[in-house]
Amino acid sequence: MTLLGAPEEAGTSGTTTRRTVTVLSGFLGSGKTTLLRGELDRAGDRAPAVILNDFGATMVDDALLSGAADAPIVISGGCACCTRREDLAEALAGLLDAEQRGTAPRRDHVVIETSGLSDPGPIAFTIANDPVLKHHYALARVCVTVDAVTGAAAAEQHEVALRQLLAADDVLITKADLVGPADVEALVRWVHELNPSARVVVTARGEVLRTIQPAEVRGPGGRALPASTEGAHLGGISTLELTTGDPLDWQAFAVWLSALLHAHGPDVLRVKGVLDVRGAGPVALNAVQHVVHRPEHLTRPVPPGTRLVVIVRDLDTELLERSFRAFLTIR
Amino acid sequence: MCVLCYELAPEDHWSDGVTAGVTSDPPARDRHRRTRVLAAVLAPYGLTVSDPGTGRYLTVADRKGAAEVAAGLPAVWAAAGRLSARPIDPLDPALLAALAEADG
Repeated sequence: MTLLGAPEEAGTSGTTTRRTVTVLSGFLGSGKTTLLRGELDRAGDRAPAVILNDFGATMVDDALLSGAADAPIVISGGCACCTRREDLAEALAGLLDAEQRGTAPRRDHVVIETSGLSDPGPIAFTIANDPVLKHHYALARVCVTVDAVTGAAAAEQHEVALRQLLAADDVLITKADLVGPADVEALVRWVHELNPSARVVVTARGEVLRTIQPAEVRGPGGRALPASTEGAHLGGISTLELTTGDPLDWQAFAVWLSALLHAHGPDVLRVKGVLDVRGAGPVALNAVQHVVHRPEHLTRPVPPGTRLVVIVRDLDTELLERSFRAFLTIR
Repeated sequence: MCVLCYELAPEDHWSDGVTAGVTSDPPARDRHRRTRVLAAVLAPYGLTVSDPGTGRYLTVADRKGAAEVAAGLPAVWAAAGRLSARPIDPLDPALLAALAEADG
């Protein structure tokens, strides 16, 4: 498993005993199932459990995937983020149940392939807040497929495609063999303008062609290349990178972010980064829309200082940065 | 629910997931610091925040004596929103000016 596998290193002891969940999202026809099939073929005996959610009443993807691994668990007839969250919770609980009864081996990793019309945010919320599941599962990554041919247009025309892209930890560009290298390069830069915190993986026919880490497209001085993507005509979406050289006060930061989410939650689309917390060291923070995942104390070495990417809609980024710094200076 | 006080146990909140230092009682220090920050933020709205020192609760009050208890940051913002005449907004220029003035 290279693309959708469990993280190679756990950030904290708190995530090591829980099963990791990868959410595989992406707009309709962007190549999620093709990618997953390739991954399952390569994984062999170490294949993850798979949960499929298709929007239509008639399932197609499960037939495409059958034979590649154990039969996937299917949630059909609705979008997992809106109408079927209960079923998603039941599917995850069912995996635990089967394991307890001895009818299935323990799977340390689960892949949820969402429907093309699903917003990953509420799915992440279900995993993080279900009173039972949160003790057994931890969201590892949100992987989002973007069609090299139609992905940018889909994000500009369909709100849900844009939300998927902004929620991504990994953006998997698919069908790169169908466009020229210059077009792929332009798409990679466009993705990073929208979501500077995401890793971008270029693929074709389910095979990885190359991987671009977030730092590779950063500009000089540590600031992300574009401070705003308003020029891309994407509904007032702006990207801001907040940095500090000195360790910050966690309580002041927590009060600031919680106040921001309380007052402007629907317009805060993504918050992700590594904080240098005074007295605690590096802490990874990841929020998909209003769902803030439990922060992780990092044990691996990271560069000093705080770097936090904030993606917002229709908010004044200059005011946002002023507010961030004002809260951090409260004595 | 707590079997002693019959209060519903508040949900874990992400902001409680990081503690500064590894001393024997970091929560008390963190809690004191959080109360101070909240008090500074809510003062420009005419509200006070105090810590009764029991449970996970803070008390948010206005100048006329109305008060609410709140467990966790989301509950604090909700209570403050009900007690304040204007919405609590971290992007409020008047709030930022007040914080800058307090910072000196």
